[in-house]
Amino acid sequence: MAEMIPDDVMEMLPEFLQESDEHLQVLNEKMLVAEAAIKGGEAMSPDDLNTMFRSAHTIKGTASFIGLKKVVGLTHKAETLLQKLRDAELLLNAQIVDVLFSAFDTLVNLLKSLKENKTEDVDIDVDVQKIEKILNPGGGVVPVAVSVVAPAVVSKPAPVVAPVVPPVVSIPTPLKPSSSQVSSGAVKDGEHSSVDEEGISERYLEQFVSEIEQNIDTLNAAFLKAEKELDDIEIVNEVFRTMHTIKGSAGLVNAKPIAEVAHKMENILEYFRSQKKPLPVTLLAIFFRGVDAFKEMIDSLKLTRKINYNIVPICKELDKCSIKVVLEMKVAATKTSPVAAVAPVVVKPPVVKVQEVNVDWANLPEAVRSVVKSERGQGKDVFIVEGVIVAREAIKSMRLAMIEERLNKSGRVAGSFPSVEVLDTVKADAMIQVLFCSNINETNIREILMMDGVTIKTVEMADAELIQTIMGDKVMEKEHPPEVNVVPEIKQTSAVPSPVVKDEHKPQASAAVNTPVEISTVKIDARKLDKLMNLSGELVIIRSQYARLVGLFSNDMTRQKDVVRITEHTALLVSELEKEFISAVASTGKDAGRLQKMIEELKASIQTLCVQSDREEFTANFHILSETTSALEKTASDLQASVMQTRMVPVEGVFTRFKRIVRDISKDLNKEVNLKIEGAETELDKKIVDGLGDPLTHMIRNAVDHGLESAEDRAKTNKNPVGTILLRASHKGNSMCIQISDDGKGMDADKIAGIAVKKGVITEEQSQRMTEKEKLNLIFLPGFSTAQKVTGLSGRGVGMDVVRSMIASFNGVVDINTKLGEGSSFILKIPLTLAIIQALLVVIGGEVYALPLDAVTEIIKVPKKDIYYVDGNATVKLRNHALSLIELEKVIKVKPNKDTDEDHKRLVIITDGENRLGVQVDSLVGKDEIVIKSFTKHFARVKGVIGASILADGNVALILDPATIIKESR
Amino acid sequence: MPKRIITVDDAPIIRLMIKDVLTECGGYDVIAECSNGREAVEKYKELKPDLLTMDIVMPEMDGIQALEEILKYDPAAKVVMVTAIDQRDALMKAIRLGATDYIVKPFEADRVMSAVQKALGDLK
Repeated sequence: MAEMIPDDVMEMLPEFLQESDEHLQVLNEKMLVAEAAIKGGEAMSPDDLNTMFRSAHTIKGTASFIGLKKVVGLTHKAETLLQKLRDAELLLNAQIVDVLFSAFDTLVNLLKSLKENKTEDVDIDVDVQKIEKILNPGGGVVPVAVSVVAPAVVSKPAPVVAPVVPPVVSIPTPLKPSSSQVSSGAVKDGEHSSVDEEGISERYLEQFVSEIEQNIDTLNAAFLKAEKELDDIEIVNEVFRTMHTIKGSAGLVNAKPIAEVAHKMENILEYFRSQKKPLPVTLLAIFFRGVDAFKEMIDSLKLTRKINYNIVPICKELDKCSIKVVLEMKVAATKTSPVAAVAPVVVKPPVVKVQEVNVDWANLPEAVRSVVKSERGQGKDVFIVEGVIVAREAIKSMRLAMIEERLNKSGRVAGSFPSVEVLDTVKADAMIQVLFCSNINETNIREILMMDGVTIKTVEMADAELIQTIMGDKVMEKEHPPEVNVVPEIKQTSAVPSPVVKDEHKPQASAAVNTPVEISTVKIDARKLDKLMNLSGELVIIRSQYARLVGLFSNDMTRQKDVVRITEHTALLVSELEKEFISAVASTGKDAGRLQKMIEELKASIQTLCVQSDREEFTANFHILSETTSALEKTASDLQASVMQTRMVPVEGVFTRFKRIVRDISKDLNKEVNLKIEGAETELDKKIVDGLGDPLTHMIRNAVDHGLESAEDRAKTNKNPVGTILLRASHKGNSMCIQISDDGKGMDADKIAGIAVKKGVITEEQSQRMTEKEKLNLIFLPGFSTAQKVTGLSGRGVGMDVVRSMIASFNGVVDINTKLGEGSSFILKIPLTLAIIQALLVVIGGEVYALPLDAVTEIIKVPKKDIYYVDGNATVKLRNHALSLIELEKVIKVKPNKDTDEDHKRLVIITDGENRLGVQVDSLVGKDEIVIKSFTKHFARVKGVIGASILADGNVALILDPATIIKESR
Repeated sequence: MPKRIITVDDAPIIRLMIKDVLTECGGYDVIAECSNGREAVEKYKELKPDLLTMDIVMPEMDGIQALEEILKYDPAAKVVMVTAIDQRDALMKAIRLGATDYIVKPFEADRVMSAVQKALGDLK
């Protein structure tokens, strides 16, 4: 009977368990209070009952979302009972307390069962029935637990699946635990953590890996900068923060080896940071090794889901380094200025900039006023304590809390200013004011507030007038609700306008003046974005369907108008007919009663028809529909554009990585290289950015290895001995250009052709017919390498052919520009996004297909008689070149072309950049922008088709893959 | 007689740094070093120091629990919390519990000195 929970909801389980654990604790606690209350003959506080109700409700809500039927069933009952207690429909008694306690215990067992074997393997019926009995004391029908409550969210039927592999990854800890182990710095309190102690939760793994990879890039960049800018202290801060983050994240996901290494590096960095000293260049080597260790561990984690990496050597190195650093720093500190380094500083030299606070005493929040009133009523004095929290105090609100806490021991703090939110944004010294009610005197207050980071300026007892202002029950206030002026006014003042100091504080000052900074970025799982993309694409399709319907209706409306007109005309004719008839009858004097009656009837029918056909309301509604549809059109397009925008990320992430790579290569090859990066902020679809790393790495390696000459060779040709590699990204129309240029020796097209001939890639004869460009493009052929010897860097098996196919997978192309002696550039042209393409819609065998427009070179119509056959292959002559034709059904299994009697055949000529092929089509539909819907994995192996798209009329068109079709046709 | 201090932190280098500052600049006596909260409570009861510096996130028993235990044992105990900036909530808890003061890691030597001196009333 125990059902396994499906994998996808398993992901949410740890969070649910932790959350519910806490709620159950609350429930148990409050229940104990309640029990004590009823034993003492008191009623339970409604607040507590409310809290309990909310807790039960929260558990139920989350559980139903996950589809935990039993938890839902039981909590629902408990919640109902608690609600009745809260609403005083039932009175709490010892029996109910027992029943609820028992239900809570069962819930605890359920959670345990879920945690241990992911099933709800605990019987809840007894508890449910007990609660039922209390709820329905008459107790006729007692419904069975589970079936009563359906999960609020329709969850998939939980299939009995093979034992679920727990979503954890075990990581061997290479070091034996010792007291010097990783500080659990960011590891959340282990005892309450529901994440498996031994491994990394699958749920966080992906996020973790990407985060650490980003951090690694940041670190590499920073250390490289430290190598050049020796005095930059900010680098230490940046590196420290990054390291702290790595440690924290690794700690959180239990990647102990990573956390350990990060922790050790952080410790060393902390020393420099706290001493405000730049990183010595001598230490950079070991830091680089540390970063490499991260990289290896992450790679291992990615591949095997485990960290197979021995961190002992690096840890030992770091430990040694750490001891050395501490000793050296200490010596240095005593040598230079022992006083400056560690002398106790009581009060900082004159405060330069203070974030002032102006409290509007007349309009304090009601809460503050009521405290003052009640304290005054008890004869307490009211003090206004004014102080300054020094700029370097890390969490100013914490300091204020400490002040309040201390004061509250000898009185009551009515209010403090500014608010926590405001205070924490202040980067400079911050002035604070505390409204304190007590019987102690000023000296006592000053003594109490003797603490680090705070200077108390004044402690003033409020005079009667001020107290009146504070408490003020003036009528005026009714007109000015207190909310208007609650937020104290903040003003920036500068006491000493010394230019030096000012400079130092400038950036901080501007930051402080601004309103609280909001976090403006959110990390989102790329899959969610894909889904959003898909949905917005669908919306665009629905939009077109609506537009089409409106179009159809519009035709109907026109016809409807005709009907109205004709009806009205008919009515007119009939009334004229009647007149004629009457005068005719009058002149003849015959009795035409029957005809008269028929005419009357005809008139009546036509009247009805007139009323029926003139549907003004309908017309008005149609106009609204039409307007709404155009609004929908616009919104859907905007939505799609916005979603598309969210997928765009700067290429910076990829580019930054190259600084490190270039540094390593240049050290290895002993070539000095200056890497210039331009346009790193250029944005590109995330998927493409991720895929660019490898091909770009390879091309940059090639540029340094093959492109740049050695320093001696450069000197001979009067070039700067330091080579330059330029990496530039820019937008061009709907594409992105990435240029990798070097100022090296350039490429010799003839030499390349020569090598290609020698390697048997092409024949001598072929090479003679080639243009220079074609010769250069030879480097993209498989098995081509111009390097005479493999240097271990380039030529590691990944050739330019792989680079090109990687780029091609993003529908991109590579272009080469080179000039002998001056350098080469490779230019990648990549479409901005993969989600939408321009396509040519064609009909083949009665079905609509989409061909990516990039691949279509031209559309021609040829007379049937011009098609001739070579070795059984249909061929036409196009501008003196033979062009193979293909019927699609021969390559992929589609319906055959219709055999038409037309004299001409329509051909769409497609290309993969090298080869061309004519595809025979029945007819052309037109050009359109289509949203690619990729197939699920079931169709991944269908050849020749890359996806599908839904057309405006709701039909599905398959998107053909020109490259495969060309390949398969050969 | 110099005042006696116990440093509590699971990172040896932090203990070392605090010890250096307190002994060399403040003339205090660091009589013990503990690497977790449990040890700290035991040592406090055993040695009755004038002050403790206490890390928050530590194995076995964290600094908050240790603070609670120590204050239960000796309400007048002087405990200066030493913690990373990301432990805000825990720190707030410590303050509410009655920690004498706190230092945010990473710290400068003079912060340690002045916090300890003020807590001990050696600096007016």
